Amino acid sequence: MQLTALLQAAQSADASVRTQAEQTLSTLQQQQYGDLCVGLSAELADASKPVDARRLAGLILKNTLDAKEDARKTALVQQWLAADEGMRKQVKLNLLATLGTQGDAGHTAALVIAKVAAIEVPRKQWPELIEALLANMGATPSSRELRQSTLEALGYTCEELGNLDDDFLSQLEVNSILTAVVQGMRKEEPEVDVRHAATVALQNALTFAHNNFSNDSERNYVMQIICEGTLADNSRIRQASWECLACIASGYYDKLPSYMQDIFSLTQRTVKGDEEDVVLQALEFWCTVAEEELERDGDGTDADSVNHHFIRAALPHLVPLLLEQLTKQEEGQEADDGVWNVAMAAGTCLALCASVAEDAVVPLVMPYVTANIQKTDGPESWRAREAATFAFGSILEGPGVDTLGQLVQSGLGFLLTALKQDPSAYVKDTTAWTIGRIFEFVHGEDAAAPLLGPGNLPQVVEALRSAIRDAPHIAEKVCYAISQLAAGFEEHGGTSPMSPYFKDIVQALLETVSGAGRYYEQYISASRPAEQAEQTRLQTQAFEAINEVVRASAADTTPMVVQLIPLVISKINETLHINAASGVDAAERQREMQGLLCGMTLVIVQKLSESEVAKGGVLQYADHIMQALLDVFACRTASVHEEAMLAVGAMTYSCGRQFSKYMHSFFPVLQRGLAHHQEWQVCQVTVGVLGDICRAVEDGILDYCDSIMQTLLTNLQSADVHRNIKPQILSAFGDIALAIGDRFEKYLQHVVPMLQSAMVMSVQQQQSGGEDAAEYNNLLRHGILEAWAGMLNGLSKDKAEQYLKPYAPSLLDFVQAIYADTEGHDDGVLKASAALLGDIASTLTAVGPLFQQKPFVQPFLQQLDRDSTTAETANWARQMIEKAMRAPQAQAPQDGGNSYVHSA
Amino acid sequence: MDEPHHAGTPPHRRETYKSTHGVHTAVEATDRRRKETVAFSTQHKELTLRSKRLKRDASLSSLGPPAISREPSRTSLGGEALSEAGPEVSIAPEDVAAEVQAAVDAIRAAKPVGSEVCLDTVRHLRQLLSNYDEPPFKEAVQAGAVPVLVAALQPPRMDATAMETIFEAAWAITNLAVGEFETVKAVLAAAPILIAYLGGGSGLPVAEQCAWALGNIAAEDFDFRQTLIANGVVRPLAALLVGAAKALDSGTADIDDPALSAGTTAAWALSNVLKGAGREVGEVMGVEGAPEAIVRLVAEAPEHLATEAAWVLAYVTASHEAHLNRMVSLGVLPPMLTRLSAAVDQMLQDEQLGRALLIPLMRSLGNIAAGGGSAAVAQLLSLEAGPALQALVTCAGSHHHGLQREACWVLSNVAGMPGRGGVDALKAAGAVPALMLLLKESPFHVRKEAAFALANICADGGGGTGNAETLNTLFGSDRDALRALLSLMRSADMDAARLGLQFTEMVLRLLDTGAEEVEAVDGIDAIEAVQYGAAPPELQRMAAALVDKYYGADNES
Repeated sequence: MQLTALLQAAQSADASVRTQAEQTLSTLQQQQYGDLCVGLSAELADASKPVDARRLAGLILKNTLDAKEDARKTALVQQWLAADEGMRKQVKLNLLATLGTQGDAGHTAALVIAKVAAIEVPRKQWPELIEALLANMGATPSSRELRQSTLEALGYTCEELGNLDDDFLSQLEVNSILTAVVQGMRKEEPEVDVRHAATVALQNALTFAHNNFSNDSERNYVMQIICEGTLADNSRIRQASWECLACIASGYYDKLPSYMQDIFSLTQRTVKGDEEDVVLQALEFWCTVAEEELERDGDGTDADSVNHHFIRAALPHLVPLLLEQLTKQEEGQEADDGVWNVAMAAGTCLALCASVAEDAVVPLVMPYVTANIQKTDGPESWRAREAATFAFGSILEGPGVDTLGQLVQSGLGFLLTALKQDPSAYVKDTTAWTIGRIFEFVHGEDAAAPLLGPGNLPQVVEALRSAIRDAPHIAEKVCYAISQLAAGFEEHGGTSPMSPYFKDIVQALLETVSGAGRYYEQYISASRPAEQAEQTRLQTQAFEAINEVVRASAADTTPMVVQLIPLVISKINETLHINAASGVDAAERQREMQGLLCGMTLVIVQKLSESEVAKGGVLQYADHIMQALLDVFACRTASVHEEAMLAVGAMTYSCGRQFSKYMHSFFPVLQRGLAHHQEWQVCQVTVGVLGDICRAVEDGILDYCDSIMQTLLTNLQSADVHRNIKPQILSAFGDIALAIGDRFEKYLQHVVPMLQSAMVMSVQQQQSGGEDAAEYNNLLRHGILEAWAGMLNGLSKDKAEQYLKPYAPSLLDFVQAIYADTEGHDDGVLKASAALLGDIASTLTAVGPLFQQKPFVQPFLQQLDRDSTTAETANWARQMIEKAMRAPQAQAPQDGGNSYVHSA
Repeated sequence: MDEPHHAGTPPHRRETYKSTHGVHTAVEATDRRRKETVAFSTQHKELTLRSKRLKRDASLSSLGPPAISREPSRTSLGGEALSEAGPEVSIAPEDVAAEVQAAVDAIRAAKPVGSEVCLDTVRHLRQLLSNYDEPPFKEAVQAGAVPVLVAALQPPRMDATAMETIFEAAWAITNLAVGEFETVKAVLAAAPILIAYLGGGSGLPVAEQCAWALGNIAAEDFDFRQTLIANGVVRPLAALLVGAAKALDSGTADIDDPALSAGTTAAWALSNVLKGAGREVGEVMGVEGAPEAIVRLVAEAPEHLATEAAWVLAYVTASHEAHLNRMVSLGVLPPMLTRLSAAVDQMLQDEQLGRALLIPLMRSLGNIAAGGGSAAVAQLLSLEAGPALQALVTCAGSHHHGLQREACWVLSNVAGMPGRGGVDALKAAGAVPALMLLLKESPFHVRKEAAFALANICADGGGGTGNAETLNTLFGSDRDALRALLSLMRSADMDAARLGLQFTEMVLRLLDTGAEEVEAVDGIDAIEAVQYGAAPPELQRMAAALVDKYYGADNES
């Protein structure tokens, strides 16, 4: 079959034709990789072929070079690199030849070139690429298409290379690329498409322009060209130019001072008169500046921390400009996630400015708020009220509670009324959000004059309870407000100001949950995704609010929290009857609902477990809770419900040793979760719960250990198991050893070699470097250290001496390697390392010489002394080591004699 | 890489519009709960390991006070900051003896005692004794280290160098004093001069170092303790406690104050000395201000010092009723109770912290409950004691078997106080359900103490002969509990077996259905285990009598 025909078949409307073509292509990729790649590139380059066949050829080629999943991507890269060099050369020539051809093939080729570059440039296998592209720019005669697609290729290549850890472009290449790109951006460039492509390319090339931006004249020139771009006739160019400025604001913030005056003028001009898409980008620039300044704290000369306080300086002019934009709302869009307009962008920018400028923003915004928030003149007055409310909501994060307290105090009543009575849903939505932010940022429970108290809480609660019945998008924000309201109070003397309202609020939230549930059921077949998404969000928020209220509840509401248990159990039971077999939607719905309910169960159980008295409430229902959770597990036999698993973990803490009685029925689920590594997070959670169970039932786990250990060891050795699970498994070995003590003996022959190879791997990773590697390595170290700690403390001293003593030197070496890795520093790992040293010193005999040979121990422990989180452990370890080195025998005094009085 | 985005929605920015911190989606909600659960789990894991670590090294709580660091003491003596590392090169074992011999000879040759030269040689020996895993103690003794160190302890004139020489020599002796029996025996020769320095005339750091050395010697052997006592070790150690209490009262002492530090070590040493002692405890009580100082330190001192002082108190209260009641009359109980509650609170926050102090406090309290006079009883039954009793119940419900056992022991003694008061106080503190649980679910050594407490409760307190109603309420319908208690009869621990037998007698005597209940939980079998087992004759007789009386031929018919 001819490739062209095959490519066209792959786009056929007839599914069977399409599928067959796709299969053929897939077979070709496996069996005739080289031929296929050359064929596709030739197809792409061939101007005589149909446009859609060329496009698809390019896309398939691109997909043979890159994939989203890491494993597949690595395999594709290897496949390409292993292929014949002549073949690769041919493909690359074809790709370069495609640039400049008619239609969008050049654009597609540019994308593919960047993919090849990402593989070959770091390996120095395509040294002529940049040169070839630059030659295109200088070619005479040259076509618009050639220069446009070449600039695109340069831009995409820069983007790909910019994503790598190291720089692979020489300064000479960077200079040439920048020259070519900036050349294309000049206002003298006659072709709009070329100028636009050049401007977009610059955004990606900026990553490499550090040296050029250090040179004043080069930088000034580039900035001038960009600023001119914001005034271009074509709006796409103006927009792309503003995008460049935003890139510069985050990449070269420290270089901005000489340009800010001009940029601000351009901002005013753009915001007041340009098209929406351009205005959005101009506002994005200021958002970026504000974000930069939020992260920067220094006034020094260090480029990474210097803060020029542009926002503060521009504030008196910037704020009015932003406020003007707030009334450009689009009616009905307040609930639409997919919309982004000028009012939203300006509001977001204002909120960022408030975070940066803090108190200074308040006097600039408040007059606008007071002048507009009560406007009721005419049908469009809702715009003024919404804008004013939004402005008020925006400035709540940043300025101090002292500054805001009085304003909020006097404004809250008005907002509560608006929440109930404003005719505009948009205004109510924003009002609910603002009230939520007030509770979040200006709760002021600790303030001299608390915002909330017995005086206004009845009114607050009443307003929220009534507004929660409003439209879903409003109700969702009311739930947020309730969460923040509850979270802001602390328990004092067994009660909290929220206690009197616990019942009513939870009741209202439960009604919301059920209401949203019913609403949802109606729409499940009506297929209105936006409505469904809204209902799902509301339900999630309502559950979260219940959870927050429970988390924040005081002792005097414990009985009511306990009463939620039978309720949540009955709701879980209801989900069991959803006929999951009736369709994907129903099954998904069941899973979601069970997730929310199990989450609520978890929060309740955790909350009640905080106090010994309240724990009784859990124990009273423990059998029922466990049964409900087991029923949830039973709904699916192919996987394990994560939230239910988390809830089981919480139950272990409440039940303690009594959890043993559930082991028989829970064990199959546990085992399934441990083996089900395809969903790695669920598997990881299960391994964590295994640890919880070990701590709860101690040697009650003994009967199950053989199977559990086998599954864990299998996982550990499997290449298919997500690597994040493995450290946790090592740690679980420690948990099991702690739980069963000397009966762990028989597993040592398997566990110890695993730990040894993990230690070797960890040290190797340390040498290979990389940020991700460092993060993973710390997880791994943690797992290793916890495994040893568990075994050293779990086994009797005799057994530890017999089996673990030989590994003491390698453990000290391991800790030494961790200490030496200053870049990968992690407090938790250091603490566990120190603890392990202490364990070795206190558990094993005659280890003094070992420590004596390790001069790193002293400075290591001293370093830990400096941090309060590690000092205690370091101190303990030091005592253990000193004792081991001095071999003391001083004994603790014994007790002062038992004196029993027993009369019987 | 896909098409670069153009106009419209910058996705990340849209998310910040009307941003509500916190969760937005079910996935985020799960994520939050997952994180919280992991944090919770991690915390528990650390607590579990921590408690295991403490269990593994029980001596930690009162081994040489952790607050004592060698370095500050040295610098406070004005010595130059020498590297602490000592010789880095490890020395082959066969060379050690020669090395030590050379070091000892060097001290002997370094004249005069207390000079710079002398200091360096003493320090060198001390380093040798500090730096090996199997320190060359025997070699040092054989090389004659003790006499030269004793000589080094007595420089002809005092200056900063001489003081530091004394300090180093005392340190070397401290290390030798943890050697084997023969080594410590040799070190005993240094005791008189060490005791002489306890007076503090050569500075508190020296006194403290000497106290440490003496504490180590005392720890080794009962006869050594007697020798130390005969040499007058008790009074100056007790005086250091008085000094610490004064420093505490001055209000200016911080945690590093030398008087507090010396007091801590002295209290530790004193408790080692008093181990197993009888009338010698009277010597402590005879030192002017010492009983009061103990009360003060237990009441107010920083944790380490209070802990060691509480150990002294534990021995004092265990020694003689007169001493015990003297401490009560000095008002030791109220601060003990307060501190006990506080320590339990602290332990609930952080298990490693309060626990060290708890154990000696509980032992003292148990002793007072068992042997205290009417004043002690009245205070223990007062309203003020309520929180402490509840704290004990908390300990009994903790996860540490050691702590549970100690707490149950105290509770059993409180229940056994004369009259019904103790029983009522325990009931009010909510002890009964906790004890019942422990009886059924905990390891033997805890169960045994819980059983004593419950037996005393059922007996209706000290002097009671049994309360049928209580017995019926607690055990009448709880066969698991009854089984647990009666199974003590099978124990090889004769105290436990006796208790089990006595309790069985009470059940048979007081419960209408006693005979059936005992039989239902295999009690007859257990009684026969005593009767025909390795129990002392008097228990065997008692067991036989019970079988005879309640299950004899007469009853069968």
